[in-house]
Amino acid sequence: MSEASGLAAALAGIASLKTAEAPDAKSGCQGLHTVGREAIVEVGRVFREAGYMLEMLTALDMRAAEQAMHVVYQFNRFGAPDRHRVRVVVPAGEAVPSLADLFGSANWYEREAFDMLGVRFDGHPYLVRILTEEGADYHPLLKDFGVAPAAAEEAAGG
Amino acid sequence: MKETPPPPANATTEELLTQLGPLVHLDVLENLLNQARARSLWPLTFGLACCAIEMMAAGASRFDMDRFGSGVFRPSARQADVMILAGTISRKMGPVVKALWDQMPSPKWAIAMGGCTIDGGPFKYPGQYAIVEGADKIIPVDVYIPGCPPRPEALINGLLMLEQKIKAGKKFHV
Amino acid sequence: MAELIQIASDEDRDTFYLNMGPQHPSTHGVLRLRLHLKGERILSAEPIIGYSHRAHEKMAENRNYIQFLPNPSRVDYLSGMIYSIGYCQAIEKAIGLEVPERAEYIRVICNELNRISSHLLWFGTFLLDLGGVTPFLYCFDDREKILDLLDLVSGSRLTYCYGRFGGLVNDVTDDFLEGTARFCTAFRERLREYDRLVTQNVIFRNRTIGVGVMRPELAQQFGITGPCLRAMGMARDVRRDEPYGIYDRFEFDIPTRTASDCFDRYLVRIAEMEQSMRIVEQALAKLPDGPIMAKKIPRKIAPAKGEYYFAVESARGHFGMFIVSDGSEIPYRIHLRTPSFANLSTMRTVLPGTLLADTVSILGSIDIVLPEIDR
Ligand code: SF4
Repeated sequence: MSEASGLAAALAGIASLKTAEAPDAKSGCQGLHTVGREAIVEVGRVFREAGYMLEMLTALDMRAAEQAMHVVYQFNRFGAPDRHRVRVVVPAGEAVPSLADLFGSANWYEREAFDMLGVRFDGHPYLVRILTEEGADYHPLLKDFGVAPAAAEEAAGG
Repeated sequence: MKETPPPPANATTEELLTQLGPLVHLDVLENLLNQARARSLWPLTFGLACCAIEMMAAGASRFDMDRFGSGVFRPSARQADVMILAGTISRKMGPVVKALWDQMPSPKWAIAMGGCTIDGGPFKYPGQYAIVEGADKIIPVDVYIPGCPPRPEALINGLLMLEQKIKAGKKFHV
Repeated sequence: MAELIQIASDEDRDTFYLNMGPQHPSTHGVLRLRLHLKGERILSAEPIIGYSHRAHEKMAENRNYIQFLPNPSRVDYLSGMIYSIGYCQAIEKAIGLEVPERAEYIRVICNELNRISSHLLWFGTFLLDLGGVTPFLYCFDDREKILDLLDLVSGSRLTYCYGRFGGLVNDVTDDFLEGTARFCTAFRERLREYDRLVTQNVIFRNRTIGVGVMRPELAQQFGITGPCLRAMGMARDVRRDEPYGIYDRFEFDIPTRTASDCFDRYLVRIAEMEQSMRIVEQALAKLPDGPIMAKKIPRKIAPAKGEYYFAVESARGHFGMFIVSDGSEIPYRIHLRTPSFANLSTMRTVLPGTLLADTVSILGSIDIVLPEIDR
């Protein structure tokens, strides 16, 4: 328990971090936070020192609604879940500091987010495409890539 | 056999062969060879996705593809003569598949196993960016086996069809 | 001797790059490794993935929740049942749908059978990589029995689509229940046979004990999960830590080992098969009668606007689904957090320093499924 409260105290020390009110059970998370991108490395360090792992890292294309990309980090510890979802909002086209120095897994996760959504990570040792073919010049998970959902639904027999 | 002018005295073996062509043209022999080829197909050990597991199942104890002389999976393309394309060919994999096909010595055949290698299967939709929609876009395919994944019996049936095709030789009609 | 070492340390002359894959019999599909070698020893290794990228996540954004149902079992085709039922459970949780008791029990039975079949296939191919052909034939024999059982209820052998939002598509037959019970009895005996056949084998032990040790700090750094984590001595399992479905009603142990080498990962998986069987037997004994589909299923599957995360324990570890809904019938985004992606990314750290020949046993022992990594 002391570990969790220590974590809360450390997180509270980060100025730009905003924690949402207790998330409901459906979200699958115990803590939801938003943080400015300059502080994400600090947040990562806090979680690493508390023994958390970087469970998931991905990005969301929110350019239609907010002209921004959301980078979503999810930290969890081993054992009874204490899942924290940390969100960084970046204006489209701008970079986020990389966590690759803190977590080994961030290396590939960030490459994937770059490949799929074109989010760049500053300080990443080897930010190249990971999944798509060589020489690809697109970021497939962007909403303006590919077809409109309605057309696909029709084709899928929808 | 028609008469050919004698080759120059200093010709290399290779030139000799090119000039003369196959020394003997015997339909009977060709047929005999085809009979042999059809009954000992050596597939390439090459799995791409889910269908590969069914290919393994077909080669394992219950279905035992060896009964039809085609259980000798060769890991090297240079020793194989049939390529079973088992699984989705992604765009990244496409050139590799082509390279493997080119490495296989003739005569060689290809079997497209599963919906993915026929036309993209379950992954076909407008705007699909990641896969090659159909193996026949990159290499010539002899037998198509539908299914997702096809059952091992279907793969065996496909191999038997390939055998028929090989045995029939030039007389094969679709 | 000293001279030899002197010569060998001449960097440029003695090191070389070796490309392994994407078509290589021991990379379990289409993994490619770029190895920097010095003689037989690996200096650095870089797995190159993406050769089986099939755009599952983009597909999710292009169709509605129901149409995505066939996809999860193709993401990881070896634990397809766990994935497809896990996806159903994730959506059920998001829209607040209750599943009838009987369906829950059947789901557990099928999930655990699927786990055994996945581990069996791993067992066969792992030993095949190490040069033993016989175990491969043995385990496929048993695996076929499971596939027959699952085929009976779901209609497919590999890429199941058995779950539905709110229950299951078919009820199980008596044949299935009897067959499963019979399988469990027979398989116990077979496991002992495997043990005699493999575990004590000297060549096998020499090739796995002390090979591919993952240092404990890697677990946190890379987020390793599944049998690889349990071979590090951590008794972590999603089924126990955050029970989904009705897993909290069963008694089972979480097998662990401590050395974290290939041999331990092997032992953990063998022990897990035993535990899965325990769960199956308990579920068979308790299986209640009743319906298999929830009464009221909304015609429109559209979770409320928000973000959901749901995790299940697949045969390879923590499989999480991050679902973002904008309130419509089409997902805004589904991100799949797959276990092998994290497990494989450790290879950059684990492989350097080992021998080239051991690469095969290390890769085999972490049990990767490529389409699950590439998605
Ligand atoms: S056809 Fe189906 S089973 Fe075969 S590779 Fe494609 S998706 Fe997998």
